[in-house]
Amino acid sequence: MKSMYLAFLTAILIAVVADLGLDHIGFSAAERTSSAGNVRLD
Amino acid sequence: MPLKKLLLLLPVLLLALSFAPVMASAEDAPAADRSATGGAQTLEDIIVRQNKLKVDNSFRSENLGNPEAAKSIADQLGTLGGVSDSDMWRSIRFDKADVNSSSRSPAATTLMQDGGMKWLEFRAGPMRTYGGWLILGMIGLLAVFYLLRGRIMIDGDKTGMTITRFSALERFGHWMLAGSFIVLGLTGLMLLFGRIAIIPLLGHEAFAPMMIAGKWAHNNLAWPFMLGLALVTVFWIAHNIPNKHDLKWIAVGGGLFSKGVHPPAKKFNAGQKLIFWSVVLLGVSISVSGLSLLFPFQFHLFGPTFGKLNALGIPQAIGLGELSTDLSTYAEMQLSQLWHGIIAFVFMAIIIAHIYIGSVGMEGAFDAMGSGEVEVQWAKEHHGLWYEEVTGEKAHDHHKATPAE
Repeated sequence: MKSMYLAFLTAILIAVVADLGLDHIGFSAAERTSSAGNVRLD
Repeated sequence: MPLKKLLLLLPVLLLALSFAPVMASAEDAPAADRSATGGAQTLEDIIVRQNKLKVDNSFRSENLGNPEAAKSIADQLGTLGGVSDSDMWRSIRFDKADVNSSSRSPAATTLMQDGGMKWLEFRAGPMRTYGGWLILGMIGLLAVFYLLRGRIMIDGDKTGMTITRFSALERFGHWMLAGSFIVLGLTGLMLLFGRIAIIPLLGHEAFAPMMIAGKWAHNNLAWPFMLGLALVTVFWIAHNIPNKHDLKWIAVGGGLFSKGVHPPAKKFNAGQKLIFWSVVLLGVSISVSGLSLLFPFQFHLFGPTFGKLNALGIPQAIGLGELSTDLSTYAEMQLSQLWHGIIAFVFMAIIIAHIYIGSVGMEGAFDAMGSGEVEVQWAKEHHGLWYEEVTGEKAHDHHKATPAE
């Protein structure tokens, strides 16, 4: 069962790193939900 | 590259098929006479839409004014140009306006998109209904099966000895995939059913933090899911290539319905191979559609795929007509989201059956993924050929069958 618990822990660790990494490259939760502003029609 | 194309085509074909009953039911509206309105919309147009008939919208989508036809500035009304306000709003509504935006958001130039209601109605309607029944149906089916067949026990005398079925690395890959899948499945169900199932029960105040955590988990556990999928694919793909023994296994129903039937099987039997390939294909499809949701507007999966399907004539052959290939970025997102949900339900139904037979449904099956060590008698009965390969000893009872776990 050690493999199972290790896999679960690793999955959580990857999730945390992924969240921080996505923030770092500009795909943060705030960025993803922001609305388009300053729209101009020609 | 051909494999990539195939993987892209497969999900979209299934999506098209899933929409087929809805789309096929929409009849074409009779041709309308719009001479009285100068080509503009008539009351009949509104009525046929209310009757859910298919209206050819080209009289609106193509009627966007003509700057070339503008009167000269010196003429009467010459300052009005060739595009009226109505023309302009139509061009925005049909995403044909030349919009410039200082926002760098990829979809900022789409000011209006009318696919949202169809997306919402499908998500809140057929997807919840059929998806929910699929999951409940599978659980019900397994409950009935358990009542009729009971737990599938080891038939022969237990030896008290074990044999290593899966290495620590194989189990690590499996549990990374399985653990993240379970959380993704549960949080996905919460996203879809939360409004009708959790909010009435617990209230908005409890649901909101629950979903903030759920959404975080759903977004970020996608990565270990994909890693786990890659690992198990690499570990087991060679063992899951179909062979002649699979036909024997299928011929006796895998021993699911009869006691003491165990046909020969290598490391994986036909049922397990079915599960494996389902996981690989559905896993890739759900990952691709999930990535397009994780990185909004960055992927264009459906337009190009619909184009390829049109070229093959598949949508036309099943009565859908040519699928639109000129999809807005929002339409791409809506289709990705619906596809993600449809695949998720099929995936969950299959995995529920897998979890059942790998735990309560069969004695000794969980040990294969728990400790990695299985009872020798279990190995002989369920994977006789594999047992012979590993130990060099003869396994008996080759004439009987075993179910997939």
